[in-house]
Amino acid sequence: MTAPPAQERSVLSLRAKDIVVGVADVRLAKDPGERLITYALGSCLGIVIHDPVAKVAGLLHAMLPDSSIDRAKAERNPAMFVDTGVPLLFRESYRLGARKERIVVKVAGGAHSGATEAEDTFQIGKRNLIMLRKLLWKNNVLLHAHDVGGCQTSRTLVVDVASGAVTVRSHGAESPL
Amino acid sequence: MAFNVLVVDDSAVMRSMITRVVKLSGVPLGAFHEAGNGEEGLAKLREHWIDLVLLDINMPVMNGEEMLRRLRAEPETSRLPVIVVSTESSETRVQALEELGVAFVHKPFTPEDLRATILRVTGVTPDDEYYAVPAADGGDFDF
Amino acid sequence: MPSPLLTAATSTFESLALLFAEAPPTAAQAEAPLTHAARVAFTGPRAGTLHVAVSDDVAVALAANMLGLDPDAVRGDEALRRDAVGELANVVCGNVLPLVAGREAVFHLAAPAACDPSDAAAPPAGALVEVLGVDDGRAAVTLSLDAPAAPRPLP
Repeated sequence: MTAPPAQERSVLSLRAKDIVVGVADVRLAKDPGERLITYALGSCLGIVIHDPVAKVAGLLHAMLPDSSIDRAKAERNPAMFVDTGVPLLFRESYRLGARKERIVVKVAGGAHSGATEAEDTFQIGKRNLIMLRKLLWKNNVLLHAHDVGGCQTSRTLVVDVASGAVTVRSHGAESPL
Repeated sequence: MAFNVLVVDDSAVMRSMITRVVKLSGVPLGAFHEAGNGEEGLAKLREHWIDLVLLDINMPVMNGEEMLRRLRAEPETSRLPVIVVSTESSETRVQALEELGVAFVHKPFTPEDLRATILRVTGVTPDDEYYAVPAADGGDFDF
Repeated sequence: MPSPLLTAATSTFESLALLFAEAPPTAAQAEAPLTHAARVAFTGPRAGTLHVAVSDDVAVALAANMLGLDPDAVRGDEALRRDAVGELANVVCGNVLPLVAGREAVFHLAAPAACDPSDAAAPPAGALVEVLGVDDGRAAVTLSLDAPAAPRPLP
């Protein structure tokens, strides 16, 4: 992924210590100066976890809900799918000192690909969200905040590793999540 | 203080869902009690000290609305915190229930919505903003 | 525009049971035999019945997802599956009535009762029927409204 041109005053302007999370990618960080950024979330989900005590953050950019459609691909890249990427995201955070009972989860994305919901034949965004909710519920984790859905919405998401603050940009406007 | 909770719903699966959210809510908990209809619910209220009731409306034997009217008529439970968790969608009826001093959560609910109502009604501010329980809760977890 | 019944049914599957449901079902989904059913009778401005029938794997997925368990954990428990289908019928019924009759209308819903899945094969005339594909199976949802009560003849 190439970053869009840096914009004046935007918190999303790329900084030296930013880590860009690509499509079907997962990254974790615990350096207080770092930020995690992902671009162009359409029907994909950007799933953020943060442990405010260990100050560990993780960001998964998952494309599709269910790895059962292509086990070999999921084996090579579990971050492509929600059902394999989310367990990976959590387990990797534990390796950096995060603890499940402290983790705060936020999500953005899951938009409809059509101009209206009815035009979205495959409903990938909705299926992604249902899979995420199912995984979190089964594993006793509640969602802290979400900015999801909408039609043909592209979102950019940035996570401040130290504070866990998440900013979402969509339709040209930035807001905290 | 710890909250003793009574969950009244004719669906065992729904009672289990509600109980799971209460446990994840961050509210300090004492004993859990369950009832399958309003009559059983009133019996549990007579037998145990209860601090919070989560109550369905459409139930056999005695529905939740009747149970609510009866418990409000008793001095001991006239101000007991009650959250009605129901598929009821009529604004008229929801308003009538709210006049009996209850909070209302519409089915289907998200766990986050129910948790927010539980915190509001109990007045509990969890010490932290944590949303999960330890992995060592005995469940079959993926992560 | 999807029918009110389809809207209420898909959103209930999604939110209550974390299952993606879509009409019409694929040919493979449509062949899954219906094994579990529940109905909810209601009275109010209109009286009637909401009937839900599902195939076995949908009943398993309903119970497992609502409880946050693996499907294998509920496969052997018939009572849990019946209970989950009953609760689904209750929630679909409560959510479809305001879409049909308006948010002011007051209905009284009876508790859900298990019933024969074959009822779905012969819905009463005038009933709204939606068949949805869910995972590898299907669900049939039927809303029947009784005829408005005729004025009683004077004795």
